[in-house]
Amino acid sequence: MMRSAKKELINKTARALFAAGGVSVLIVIILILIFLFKETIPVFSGAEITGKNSISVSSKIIGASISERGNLISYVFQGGLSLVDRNGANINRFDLPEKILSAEFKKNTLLVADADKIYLYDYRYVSDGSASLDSNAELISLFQCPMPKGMKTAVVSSKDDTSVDIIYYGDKRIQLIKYSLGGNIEQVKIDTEILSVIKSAEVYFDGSLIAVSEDGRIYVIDESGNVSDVLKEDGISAFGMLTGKRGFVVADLSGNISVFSSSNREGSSSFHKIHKIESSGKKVTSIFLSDKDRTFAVIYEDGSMRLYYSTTEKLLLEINDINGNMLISGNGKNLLSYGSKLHLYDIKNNHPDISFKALFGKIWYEGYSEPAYVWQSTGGADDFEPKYSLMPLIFGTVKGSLFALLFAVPLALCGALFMNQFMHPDLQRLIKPAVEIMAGLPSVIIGFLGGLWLAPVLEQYLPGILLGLVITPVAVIFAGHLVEKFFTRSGGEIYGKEIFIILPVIVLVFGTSIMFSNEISTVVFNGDFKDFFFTKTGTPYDQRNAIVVGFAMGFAVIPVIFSLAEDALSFVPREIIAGSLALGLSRWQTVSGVVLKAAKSGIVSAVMIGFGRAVGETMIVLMATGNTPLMSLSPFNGFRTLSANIAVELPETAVGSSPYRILFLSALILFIFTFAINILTGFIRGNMRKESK
Amino acid sequence: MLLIFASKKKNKEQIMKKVLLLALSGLVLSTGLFSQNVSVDGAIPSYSKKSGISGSLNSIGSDSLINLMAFWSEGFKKSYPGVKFQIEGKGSSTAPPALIEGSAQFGPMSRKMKSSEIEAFVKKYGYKPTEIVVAIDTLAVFVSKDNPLKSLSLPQIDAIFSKTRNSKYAKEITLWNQIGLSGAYSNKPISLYGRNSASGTYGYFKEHALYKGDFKNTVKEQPGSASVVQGVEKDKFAIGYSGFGYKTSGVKAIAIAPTEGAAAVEATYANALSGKYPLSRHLYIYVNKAPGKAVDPAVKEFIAYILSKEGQEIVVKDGYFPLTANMAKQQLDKLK
Repeated sequence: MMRSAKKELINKTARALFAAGGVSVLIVIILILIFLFKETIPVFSGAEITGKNSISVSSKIIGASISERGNLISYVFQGGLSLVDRNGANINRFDLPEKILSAEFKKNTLLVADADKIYLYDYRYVSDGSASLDSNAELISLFQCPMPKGMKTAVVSSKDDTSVDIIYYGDKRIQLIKYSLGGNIEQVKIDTEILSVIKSAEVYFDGSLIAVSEDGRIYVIDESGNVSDVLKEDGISAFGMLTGKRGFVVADLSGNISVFSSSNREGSSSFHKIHKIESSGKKVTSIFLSDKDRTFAVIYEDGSMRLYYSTTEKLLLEINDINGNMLISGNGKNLLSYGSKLHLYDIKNNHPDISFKALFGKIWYEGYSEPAYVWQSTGGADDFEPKYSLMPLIFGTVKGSLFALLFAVPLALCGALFMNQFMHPDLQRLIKPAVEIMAGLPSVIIGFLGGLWLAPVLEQYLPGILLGLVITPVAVIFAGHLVEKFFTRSGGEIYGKEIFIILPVIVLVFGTSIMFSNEISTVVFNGDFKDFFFTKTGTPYDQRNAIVVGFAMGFAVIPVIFSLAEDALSFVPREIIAGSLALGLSRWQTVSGVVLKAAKSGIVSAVMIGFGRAVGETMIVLMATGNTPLMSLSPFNGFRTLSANIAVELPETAVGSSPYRILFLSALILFIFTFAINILTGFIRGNMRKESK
Repeated sequence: MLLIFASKKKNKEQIMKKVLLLALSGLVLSTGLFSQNVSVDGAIPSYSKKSGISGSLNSIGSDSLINLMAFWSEGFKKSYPGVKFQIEGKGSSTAPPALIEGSAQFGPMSRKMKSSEIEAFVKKYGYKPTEIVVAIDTLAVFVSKDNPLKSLSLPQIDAIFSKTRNSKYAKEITLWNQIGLSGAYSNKPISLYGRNSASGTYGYFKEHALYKGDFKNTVKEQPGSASVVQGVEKDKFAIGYSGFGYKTSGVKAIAIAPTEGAAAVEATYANALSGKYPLSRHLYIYVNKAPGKAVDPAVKEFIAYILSKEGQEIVVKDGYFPLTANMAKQQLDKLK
């Protein structure tokens, strides 16, 4: 009585403990899922306005600027420049010439022009040491010079510590002149006549000038002054160069917005229309671009404004009652509209560079000759166009796992079947733990050996190894047949220990085929397999390739599949087997007709779980592949998986930035992937159980 | 469970041993990779310990220098256990604001301060920040030691590694005979190795050798400079870039011409020092020192440690070039 009560108590406690364990695992998984969601969701939110300040100005504004951190505003009026804070309070005032016609701020410069002269200033915001705010500005006069004859507009193109480049254009002529900071002309870089009236011009990244005309022509003038390319649009109403100077935005007369960039095909560079945003039916009056990223503001004739991002073609924000121009602050967090009044908007625009299309679609990036799936998340400079396509990574994950399974499934399943059904119990007791030890091998070491030892070996002996993979199974079957013929029937002493005859056969056959690898190369592949493959397919043979990873990762997956499949086979009741044998079926008939059928669901789930293991494997792929984000089916080049990508890139991405959130998104995708595999496994298993009943 | 099992059965023990041996040999191999071939100038004096140094030191700046800073701080703490370090590496542009605000005494940067950044500093303090060169970072382009290739121009390197070819080199280079190799190399594809995108090396190479363009998808990105070299060593048709300090006897660094047609410059310590080699840069630490006044002794001692024999040995260990005795002295004098 007492004992059974005690037992009851133990049972109850154990049950409660197990339940608690199960539930807490579930809770942890759900929490991880929630965390991953929380980190990724901000990626898909658009831009929004979080605040607005209006500042009234008594005089007519000729030009304006907003400081890098968005808290100070400068505006030029007739005879002066005012610096105010975001509430309109005066901070500083500088004198400028009277009767000015235009004032343009650009990258620490202010260029003012009157009817016949230009005045160049160094104008910059300064901070008193606090990292988040600018406190003042300073204006230093650099030089003034007469506007060259026939020219109407002057624009600063670039300025460094010793010189400044200024673009001049008039009706049919354009010049690019380099001045010293003292105002001496150092070099007339370009001076060219053009057939149309120039509307706007900017310098491209390679030093050539891009000039657009009202009638819709885009002239590309190279460094030696020759017009190297002319593109034709249906009239041009606005133009602007994107940050990085690798692409520019053009609006045509019907309101369509296009982004152009050049690429180097064989021998020459040519321009392509890489993005097109369909017209909203309104005419565009001007385009203003951000210095920080590829965000640009489009102003329409009805006074409305739309904020777009070039790479994703995403409409970020729309404001209806802008009357005038729109500036984007250096940190991208503020917009300033100026016309008769100043309006300062605070905006939240953290991830303009991410959209569904950016992650999963083909995008035509600046400098590329066609749309492509590209993963290249960082660059050396701030003006880099990030490329966030997850497709090559998802492709790589699936490719790697499939190659691992290709190698692991036949070996693991046949191994498990042979061991469980045919092997002598003494040997069984030896093999099973050995395979389990295999599972304990750290994957860093497998990856290391795969990349630095296996890859070169495979490169050298590939034809032999491939041949070995084909003929060894044949030889094994043949050897098995011989064993059957000469030993089993005669006395049965060999029963369960056939492996001692088959193993030397495997070693011999595989070894021989590797030994003759070079000969096979010479005879079959005209000397070198790699050359043969390259000339036949056009894809180079890469030393770190999918086959290497297949072997290395297969090595890690084999124990998983082997153990699970072996367990499934062990659960087949011995009585069924005994019954089948007693009814006169041979051993093989019993195995294929009875055992395998009974263990089917277990074997399928073993493979699926092996697949799940391969999908999540990180260190092996990280070390044994080149992490090349390719999308090629060729077994002889590498790939990059989601998990390796996270391991490679996460350590140095800034918390909260776009790449950071995308890495979390790829973690979420991995999670969902394995989750789906597990659910599918359960489902298949359930179905098979029902069937077998 | 496995352990019990192994102790019971002899043959299982053997299997375990074999596995362990295999694993160990892997580890030995991997640690053997980090051998160096540049040594610190013998004329740089050893660091001599002072007394009474304590306090907490903050460093905010370059991420490519974060490892060096960590090693230096560890070495420094051996002499002065009382000194506390806090090191942040979020990029070179975070250094100037931190110095201006006074939230850090050290601003490690992998580039020179821009004039605007210096001006912001001057605005607050009335004098310029003190720039101290602490190491030389040189990138080398490696090929296997048997490769007959001697030199490449920067635009050729761009055409080999980049798919955008911003250098305007006429044709994409994919085969070895396109850069003049014949014999065993003719018609063989070039196999590309490089660093992973999180590294400063990747960014620097992209900006200077690729003219800000994009890498080809076929560049095998390795998680460490040593594995780039190891990859090139094992792959006869490979070319790869990484820090020069990681060079082994199995690879050779090729000479690089800054422009098409210019004379190629060997990647040697001397050329890196003179600035002739196109892929070389100084690494800096900026400190706030008022003219005529002494800096905080802990700051001074830390810089002295970096510029000592021990500090420069750490530079070599982390894969960079050390300063010469003369340079080290010049830098040290800036704090006097």
